[in-house]
Amino acid sequence: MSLNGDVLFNPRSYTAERVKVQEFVRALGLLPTDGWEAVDGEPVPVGLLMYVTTYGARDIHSAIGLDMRRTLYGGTTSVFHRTPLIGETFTVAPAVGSITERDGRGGALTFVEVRCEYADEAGAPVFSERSVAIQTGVRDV
Amino acid sequence: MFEAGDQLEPMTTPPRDRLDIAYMSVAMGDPNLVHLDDTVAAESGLPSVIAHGTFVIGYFGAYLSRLPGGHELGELKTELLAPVFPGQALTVQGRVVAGAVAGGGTVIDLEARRGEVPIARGRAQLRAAPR
Repeated sequence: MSLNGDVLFNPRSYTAERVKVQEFVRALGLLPTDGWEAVDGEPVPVGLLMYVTTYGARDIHSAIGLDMRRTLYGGTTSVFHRTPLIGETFTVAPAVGSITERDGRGGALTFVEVRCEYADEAGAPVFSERSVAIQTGVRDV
Repeated sequence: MFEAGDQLEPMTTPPRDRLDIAYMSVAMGDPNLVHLDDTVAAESGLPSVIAHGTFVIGYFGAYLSRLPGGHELGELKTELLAPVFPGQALTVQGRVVAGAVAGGGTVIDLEARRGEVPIARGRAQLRAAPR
């Protein structure tokens, strides 16, 4: 099934809430102290702002036609126009950058680049994301 | 202040178990069952659930934030090379490619390894933090 690279996405808002930052840092195992709490105005930990979190993987992947059960993550290029801060609300605007196919051991590998631009409430650019989702081939049975 | 060619001190990450990985799924709102269900992981040829690639990016970010000197992150490229399975710890280490942190404009190559196995590589560009 061919993937849809021309899909358009409406921008959404995402707030870097303290509780989500705490969950993220706890999952990493990097809590500075027991009972540590995130504070508004401090930098958002690197890695939290990804389209999966800020917009929703399901909405983007299903619109493109990716099979979630065969989709893995390949990496991200993150550009920080300035440091995003905890408590800020961003406008998140995703788009499909490119779709390419290569041969893999288990069949065709489809690389989908998802681009996301994050702007602050004044409309100024804060962060740009280019993430790669990889759909693996169907294994022969 | 760092010089080009400097090998930076490594950082060992704490091993994450299945519950920690599930917790990351909650933190990210990630519905991908490859992180939660061994059966789904097997459909992608994996022996078990895997940790999110976000763990590596988070560790790269934490590593960079601990470097001395007033700087902020301008760009971070991360490429995942191999999966991380429950219970595995990583070693993150950087090498200065160019520039000096105090003066801004530093480029650092990053590597995350599981023993001798490369898990991810990255490149970070640091700049002087605004006053």
